[in-house]
Amino acid sequence: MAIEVKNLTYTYSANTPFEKRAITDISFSIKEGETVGIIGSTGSGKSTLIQHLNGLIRAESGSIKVYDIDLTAKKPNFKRLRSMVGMLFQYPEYQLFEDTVLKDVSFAPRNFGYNAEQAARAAREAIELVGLDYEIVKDKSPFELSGGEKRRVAIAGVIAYRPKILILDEPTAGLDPAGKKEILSLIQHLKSGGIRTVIAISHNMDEIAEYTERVLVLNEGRLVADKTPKELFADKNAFANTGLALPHTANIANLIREKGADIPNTPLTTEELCKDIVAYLGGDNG
Amino acid sequence: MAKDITFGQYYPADSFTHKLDPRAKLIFVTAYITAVFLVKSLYSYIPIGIFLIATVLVSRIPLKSILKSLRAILFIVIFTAALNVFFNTDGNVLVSWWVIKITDGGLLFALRMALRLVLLVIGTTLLTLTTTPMNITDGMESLMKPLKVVKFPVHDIALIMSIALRFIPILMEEVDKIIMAQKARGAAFDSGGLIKRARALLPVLIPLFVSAFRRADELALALDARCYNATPKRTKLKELKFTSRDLVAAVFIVMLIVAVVAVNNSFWGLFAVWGW
Repeated sequence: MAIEVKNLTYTYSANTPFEKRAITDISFSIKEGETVGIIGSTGSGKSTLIQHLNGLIRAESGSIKVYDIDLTAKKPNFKRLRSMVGMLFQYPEYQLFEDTVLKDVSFAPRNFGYNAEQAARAAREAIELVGLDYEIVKDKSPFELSGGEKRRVAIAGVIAYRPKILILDEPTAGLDPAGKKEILSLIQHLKSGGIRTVIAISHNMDEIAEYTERVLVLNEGRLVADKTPKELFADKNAFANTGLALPHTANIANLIREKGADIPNTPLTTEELCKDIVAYLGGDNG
Repeated sequence: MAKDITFGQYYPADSFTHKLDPRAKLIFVTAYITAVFLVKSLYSYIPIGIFLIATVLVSRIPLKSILKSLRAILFIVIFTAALNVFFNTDGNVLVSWWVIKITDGGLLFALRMALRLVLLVIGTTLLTLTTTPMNITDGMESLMKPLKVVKFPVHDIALIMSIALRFIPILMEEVDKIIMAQKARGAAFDSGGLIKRARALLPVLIPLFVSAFRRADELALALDARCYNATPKRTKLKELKFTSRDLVAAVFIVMLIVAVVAVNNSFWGLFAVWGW
């Protein structure tokens, strides 16, 4: 088991007038190799939950295990934990700080004990992996790059040390449609490389439907659903009180069904939707 | 975590003190500070102490929050008291050892200094505990209005102050986020010597400055887009208003000052007036 969370509860500013319960009694486990999406409206506790997974927030009650590391132990080995669990925050480009791209990408590998040469090699591989031209960008200041390029550099900074688990907090926020697609296919590409397990927070249901195998739904700090996207989006009223919406493909399928046409599946991608419609119309395979 | 530090320490509660007009509170605090400095005899601290305890009770602020503010100055209090105890040589010598002479005058003076510091800090802390930073700025702006006559940019100063205050929690949140992000990348902030620790802050400070400048740019644009400062006379959403509460509080403050002055000048004489 890559991640095991049991009865996790956390409260911000406990014992003050500003006290705020963020997550309540959450339990789940994630197997190595899974791609898991976490969805929920603003303030539902998604970010708090993932920050627990690499020890940035210590559990208040309940237990968390990441591989063999027990995060509720008195002094877990944070360095080893964080080298196994890579975390990409929202708008990661705002965390760049070094004067050259190469130095910035080598920052984490250096922290995790790579020597200068190993770190430089790891950084080079990562920069190439995210699709940037190493020779052009390596000596540039990260602040000179465009928004999309900056985000790639930030991603390179995390994957350079080859974490086993990659956690992403809204990796596509603020990018244009082309940029979103590039980042998403990059993440898929990473999975075929060294990174085994991917956990991503997203507000974009279309992305969740298309790219994840399993979805955790949070509402007001509680885990309200843990299903495959197909199961989850098949239920028209799944998100009745959560402020979330179905992906467009499921919506269109529902609308067509309301008109009386019988589309059996819950399509998750545009191609699937087209296939289903063509199949209903009696065509062959689109 | 920075999140646990509540800036300006405002403690929300529904009390007489909370509801006072911020201008009145600013004046009262000034009057209170004056009263504390007017004190000449140790006995004069009695009315001040009574007044302060009453104010704390009325404000419904838990004692714990008030004592927390004292923790910050504990060192200064002890340090000044110790200096006075050991090196003030007024009055009769009580203990004499090597160059150190502890005298009753020194002890008394140390006690007075410590009392003065503690009373000053508690009094001023009550202001920030019961008034939001925004209200304090509003109050200051209103009190500084007369300075407009000499072309002092009162409103601009008030705007600068409120923007600064407003952005402190935002930037603290930002610091929190950046620290988390760099920790996730393996940065260690709590190990190594002083220089190593200072260097470890660079990955936090640089993104923080970049983001502060970006926010300042955006804010300036937003102000421009709304034609800020195009109207010569700005109105307020929440007008400050004096109420009868402020009058009641003013009466108490005046009584405090009178009491301090009376006790100062003739402690025994005061009792004589009462016919003792």
